[in-house]
Amino acid sequence: MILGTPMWLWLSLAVVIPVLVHLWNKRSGRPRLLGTFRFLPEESFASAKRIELHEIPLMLVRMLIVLLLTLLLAGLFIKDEVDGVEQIIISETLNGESEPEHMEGGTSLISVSSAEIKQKGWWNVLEQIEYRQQPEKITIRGDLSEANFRGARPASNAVIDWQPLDSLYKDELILAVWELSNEQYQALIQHRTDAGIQTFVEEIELSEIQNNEVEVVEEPRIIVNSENEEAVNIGLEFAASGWGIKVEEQPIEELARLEFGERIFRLVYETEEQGAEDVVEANSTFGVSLFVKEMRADVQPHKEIIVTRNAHIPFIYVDNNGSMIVNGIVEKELQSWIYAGIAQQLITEAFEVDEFLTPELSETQRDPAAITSRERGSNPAEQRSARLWLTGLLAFCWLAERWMAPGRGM
Amino acid sequence: MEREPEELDLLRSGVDLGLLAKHIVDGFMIGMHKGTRRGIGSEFSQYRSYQPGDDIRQIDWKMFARSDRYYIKESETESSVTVRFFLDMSASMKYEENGITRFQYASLVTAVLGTIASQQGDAVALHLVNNNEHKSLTEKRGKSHLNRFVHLLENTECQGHWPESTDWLTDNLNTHDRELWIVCSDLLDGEKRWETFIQLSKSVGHEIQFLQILGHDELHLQLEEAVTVEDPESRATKNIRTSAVRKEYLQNLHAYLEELRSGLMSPRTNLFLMEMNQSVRDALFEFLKLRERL
Repeated sequence: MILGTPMWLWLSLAVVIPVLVHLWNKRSGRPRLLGTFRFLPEESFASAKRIELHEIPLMLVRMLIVLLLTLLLAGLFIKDEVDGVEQIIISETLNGESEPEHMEGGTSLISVSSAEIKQKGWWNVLEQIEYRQQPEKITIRGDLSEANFRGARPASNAVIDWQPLDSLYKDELILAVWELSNEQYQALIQHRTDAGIQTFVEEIELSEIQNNEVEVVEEPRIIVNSENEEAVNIGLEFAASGWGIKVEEQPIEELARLEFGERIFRLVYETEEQGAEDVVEANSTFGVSLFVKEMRADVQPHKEIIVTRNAHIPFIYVDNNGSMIVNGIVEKELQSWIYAGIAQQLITEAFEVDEFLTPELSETQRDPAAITSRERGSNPAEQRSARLWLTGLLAFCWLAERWMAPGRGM
Repeated sequence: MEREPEELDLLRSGVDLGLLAKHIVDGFMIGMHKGTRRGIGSEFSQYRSYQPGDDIRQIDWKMFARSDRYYIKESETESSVTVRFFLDMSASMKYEENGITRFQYASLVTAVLGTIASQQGDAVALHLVNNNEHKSLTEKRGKSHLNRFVHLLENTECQGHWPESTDWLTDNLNTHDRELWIVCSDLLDGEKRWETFIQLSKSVGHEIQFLQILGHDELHLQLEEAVTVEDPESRATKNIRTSAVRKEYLQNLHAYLEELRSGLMSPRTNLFLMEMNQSVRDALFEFLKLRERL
């Protein structure tokens, strides 16, 4: 139950009016002369100052009418119950807001973008989410700095668990750290600048990372097969050089092997009957397979095409199974770039860097007041106006009152 | 809401009773009162054959010349009736509805009927009666008498009840001429109180017309829900809840009225009920139509 304009509730004081009317009716004024006095029955006289039992329902009906009118004016809304949401976890993310994700045990995960939090403030975000779902507990993970709190704290029925994620908003965020052989350390650092977020590989001192939760990878190295085609190794080494990771050439079974401490990734080259097939294989699951197939001119252009050659023949595309297909024998330079990309992916995976943490923050216009007033208490899908019910009930009460009142002569 | 009759409005505003009565009477000029006995008079009625013993002066000689027979010319003899009005002056006549008391209403009814009777050349007499007081005007004809008649109706205070004995009347009784007695009252005292009065009238062979005047609220008990009512005669009061007592009240009242009607009605006694919210003119028109003639 929600009231649109609670100030009308003052009108509910008018429920005393029916009571006053009844008391007023009890007042007996100047006696009236009645020539037919003797025909009045003897026994049924009561003290006129007392409310008789049969008048109480009438009085109650009238009070109900006043109350219904008040609620009608106050704009009562009936809130629909949202099933099964016991807990909501609100996570601040750097990228956009996503649809609530429902998990088992009545827990919902809601991602809210940093931009939105900056714009609305935590109180508004909290109020809106709570209003829509009415959970018992809300866990908030995000930047709880003072700048993100504006206005008054809303009345909340839920237990709120605040979990600050300060690292999200440090100017520098260390995503990964690894040790070079000469006891130097390098790190993948995300910088927040006015232009947005940029990521660099930099040398850092060990003291800077002691308080950081990021695990230090000891002497990562990439071993490439010395028997590989030159173009393949050039690509792999190019990717490694960007990270400053040592590359060694050795005769091994695989195309390449990435040793990141205890984590080892292998890049395997496989040949099948239909053509050459490279499989990027980690010792865990890794999502992209690379197939190299013979150049075919009959492949029809379709929406999943990534690159075309000669402007019409698909060159790299995704097939129905979600595999990335490279059409034909890849030219050497292109082959290098592909392997460089694969290596880049593997290294990112190996350092457990969340690639989605690096979008650029867009500058947004801030107008928290407007948003607050627009969004507050206006979710037509989840609330129904009680007007129809109230009007119906009011009509019924009015009929009841009319039915009772003439019978009682009032 | 029904428009209030004009004359009740005038009555409330204190217009002279005589004037108001005349105004109403002019409104319905009914035929003059005529007797049923045939005889000498100014107005021709019929011819009849001469019978031995008839006064030869009555023979129409022109008729004899035409027909060679003796005819006697007859006229309707104007009969002489005394209309004796009795107006109840008991406390219950103080009952008021829409600013008019029952007594005022009854006065107007009496004045109108008195004016009609007087215009017809009947003698009118008036008695204002309660158990303490008796004001009367002896029967007479003429305009000045009518003025006295109307004047007596004004300036009267109602109290007490209708007297049980008829001593006040026996002195004024006229047993020679034919009389019509018209009683204006609420007749709420009970039939028994009127017994001696009715017996007296029967013994002298006069006709009685009772005009019972009751208020609309009295007949339907349409009062406020919670009200204190007072008996005008005994001064007793009661708090009543109208809705609770209405049914039984109306039963009692109607039973009484029925009993009263059956008790009073006889060949020479008649009862006519008037409701106080009714126009005096309409009510009397209806009444006179019922009686056909006074």
